[in-house]
Amino acid sequence: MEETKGDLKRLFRHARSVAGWLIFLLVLLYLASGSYSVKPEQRGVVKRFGQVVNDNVLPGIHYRWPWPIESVIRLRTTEIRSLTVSFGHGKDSQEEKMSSQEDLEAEKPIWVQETDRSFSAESSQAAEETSALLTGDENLVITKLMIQYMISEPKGFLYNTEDAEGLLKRIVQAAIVNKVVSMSVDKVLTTGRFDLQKKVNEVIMGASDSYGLGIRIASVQIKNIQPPAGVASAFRDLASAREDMHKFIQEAQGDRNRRLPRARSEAMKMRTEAAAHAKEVVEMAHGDAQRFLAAWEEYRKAKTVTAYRFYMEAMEEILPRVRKLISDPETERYIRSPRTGPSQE
Amino acid sequence: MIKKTLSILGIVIVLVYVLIKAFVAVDTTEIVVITQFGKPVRVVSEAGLTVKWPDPVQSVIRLDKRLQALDSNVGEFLTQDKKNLVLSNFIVWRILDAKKFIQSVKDMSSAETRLSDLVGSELGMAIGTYPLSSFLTTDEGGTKIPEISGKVARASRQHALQEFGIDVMAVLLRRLSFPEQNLRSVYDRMRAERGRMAKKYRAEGEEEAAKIMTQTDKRVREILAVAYRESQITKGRGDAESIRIYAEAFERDPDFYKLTRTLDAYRKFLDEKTTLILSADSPLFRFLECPPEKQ
Repeated sequence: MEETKGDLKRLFRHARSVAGWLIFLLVLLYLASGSYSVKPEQRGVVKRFGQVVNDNVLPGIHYRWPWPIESVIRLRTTEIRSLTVSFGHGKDSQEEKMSSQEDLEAEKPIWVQETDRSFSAESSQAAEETSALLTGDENLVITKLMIQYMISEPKGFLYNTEDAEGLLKRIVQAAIVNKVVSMSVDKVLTTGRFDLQKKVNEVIMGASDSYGLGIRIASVQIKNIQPPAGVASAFRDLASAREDMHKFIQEAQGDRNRRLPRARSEAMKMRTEAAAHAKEVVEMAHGDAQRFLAAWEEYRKAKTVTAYRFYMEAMEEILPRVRKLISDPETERYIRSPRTGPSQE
Repeated sequence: MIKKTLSILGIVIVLVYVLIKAFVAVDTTEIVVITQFGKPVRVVSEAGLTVKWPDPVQSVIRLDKRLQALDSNVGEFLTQDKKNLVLSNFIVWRILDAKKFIQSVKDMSSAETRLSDLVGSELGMAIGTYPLSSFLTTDEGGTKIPEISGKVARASRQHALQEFGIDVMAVLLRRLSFPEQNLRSVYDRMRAERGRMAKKYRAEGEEEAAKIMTQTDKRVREILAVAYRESQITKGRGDAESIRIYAEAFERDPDFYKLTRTLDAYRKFLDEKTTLILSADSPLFRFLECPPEKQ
């Protein structure tokens, strides 16, 4: 009995020194677990017993008190996040929801009760996304918006709302519904896009301020806005009807633009021809007159001879080609001889 | 010796337990209600460390104090003019009075159910006092939806705060539509409307085109007619001038003109097909039978 007691005592003493070292080492390790790093694209938020003590830890290596005193959450703040909101696009274009859970590299203290209360919206969303928007004149349109934003205040983004992105998305939906119900379908599909975009932007900024979402809007883009598939063909036909209208008019204008110059050129041709004719007949008259007068001048000097010569020359020319019957008035009295000579005076 | 060590160890363990249980870390997202034997005695809403009596004397209930967005189910409502509207809304809310919250609704899910019911009935009442044209309109004044949802939010806030300790910050519509069976007629009407407009556009285009065409026709004929008139006048003037010139020249000696002109005409109209019957005593044959020497 004594022996074993002595052994135990020795063992105990030995163990004490080992345990001392061990505890020292453990304390050292424990203290070392307080160092952490923040990557360049991240910002850190440090909480001490749940209270935020530093909401903007810049990138680099830092130290905090180890668990359970302090904890750190790192958040990617420099990246641009996007959120898609769609109406009436069906399930296939379900938003590519960016899960905020992925972005949070959180060290969860064990005493923080998990309030993981995911919305029952996920299932009802599929059904709701299929509903088109009603316009002010009771038409339907479908649309898809993309909102890009950045986290401007990590603390607000993380802790003011249970789900900042979820709230943002709903606010955008409400803004779109509220705007579109006071616009006509034609306005929504044409000039109203800009208004809608502006309105959504305004509403988000206002809501971000009043609810402390901790985000800054980079852009609001309307990816598409169009009539629903069931009536798209009617809208397309209307668009082509509008084009047809312009086409008809343009064709008529084109026809006019072709025909008028042609008519003008024809008119010009007529006038020119008329002028040419006038000139021609006058010139010919002059020529004929001159010729006549010149001939007459000479003829006057020897009237009888020239007249006779003219007459004979003509006969020479004519008689060889015609058939001739020569009658004797004595024998064939009944035949009236035509006057073949120059007019009988 | 061992007994002593063990008892010291036991005391230490108990102390550590008491210490751990006596300190409560309140997260920045939480409101903590401290209860004493089940009865709420203290509400801590500032984040950080706080102390209480250890369990089982005092225990904590943690509540989320962040803003919550609660989707209400899709519901059909009747407007003043008896039109059906399908609405879904969401409620932005948070816990304001933690003690009241715990006493009345206890947890989040039952709070959501109660709140949803409350807002739903307020919404139904509010919508029943407005005609459809207050929701859907293209007038200058715009839709009354913000006004209506503001009213609903105010009424719900009052109730929710008094009864559940909940602060309702906003009630907003995220969907507004007609029931499924009415949508079909909306589609039909849209198609018909577009069809009518398409027809109108085409007809207008044709009308305008026809107008342009007839104007073009008219213009073309005008141009040609004017040109014809002018060219006839020009020709006439030329003709007149030539007649004058001829007449002037021929007047000088009509006999000579007649002679030359007639001979020219003979040349032209007496051709191979002509048969001339010449009298033997025609001057042409004067010398044929009696040479001039004989005369």
